[in-house]
Amino acid sequence: MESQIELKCEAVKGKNEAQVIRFVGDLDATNVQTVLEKICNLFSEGKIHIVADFAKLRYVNSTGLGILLHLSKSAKEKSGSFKIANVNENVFEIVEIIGATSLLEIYDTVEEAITSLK
Amino acid sequence: MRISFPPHIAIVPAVRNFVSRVMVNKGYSDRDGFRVETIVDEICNNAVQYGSSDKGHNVTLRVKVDWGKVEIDAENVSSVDEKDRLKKHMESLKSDVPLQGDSTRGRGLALVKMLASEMTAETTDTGTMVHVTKLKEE
Repeated sequence: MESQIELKCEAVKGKNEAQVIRFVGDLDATNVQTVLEKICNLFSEGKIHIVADFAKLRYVNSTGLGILLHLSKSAKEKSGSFKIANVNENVFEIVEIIGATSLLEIYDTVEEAITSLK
Repeated sequence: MRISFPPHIAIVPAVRNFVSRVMVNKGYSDRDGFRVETIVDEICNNAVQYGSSDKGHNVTLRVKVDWGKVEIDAENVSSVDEKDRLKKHMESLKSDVPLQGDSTRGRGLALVKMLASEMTAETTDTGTMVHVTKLKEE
């Protein structure tokens, strides 16, 4: 009965170390482990720049946000980055209340996030 | 409405979605429905996490939806140690220290406090109960 979340990965043309991940569904305590493992595997494969597209991420709770912060920190430790784009207003409110807007790199669009990659 | 469910995290998404849909059907906005969904999710996760996992020790959620406000109670069965932990956590939330740092651990109830109009916690004979009042906003 866990929440459904699907992660769709796409390569970024001209940037071998980057990957766009489109989140579809709800991110919560029931599926954070799956998300963590999938993205850590990408880090291990050398994909250290992640752009997370939240256009279809309907819901996130405090546990889900904890994992996003952990992934952001892990990426930085590997000299990479974890950027977020297309955050809907409900999810953004939760990010804001938790105080994570200054800890996460948030962009309006995926294109802006990709352009910001070094 | 009263929902009693076994203390498993995997059940919480269905519970929170159901309550949110009821809210919207009762005339609350999608935004208010989302906020209540978050509140229900966090207090139920908290009740499961800090409650007994023994068979029959269900988490009980009570939701009363009025025209201008919703009242939510989440009650678990828990040990004296867990009751004390909740009490200390609630005390720590009384200070208005902003949420900072790179961890969200233990911030579920802090998030609820920010979303709710009022939040209290009390110990019962068998466990703990978190009570939340949320006024209709939109």
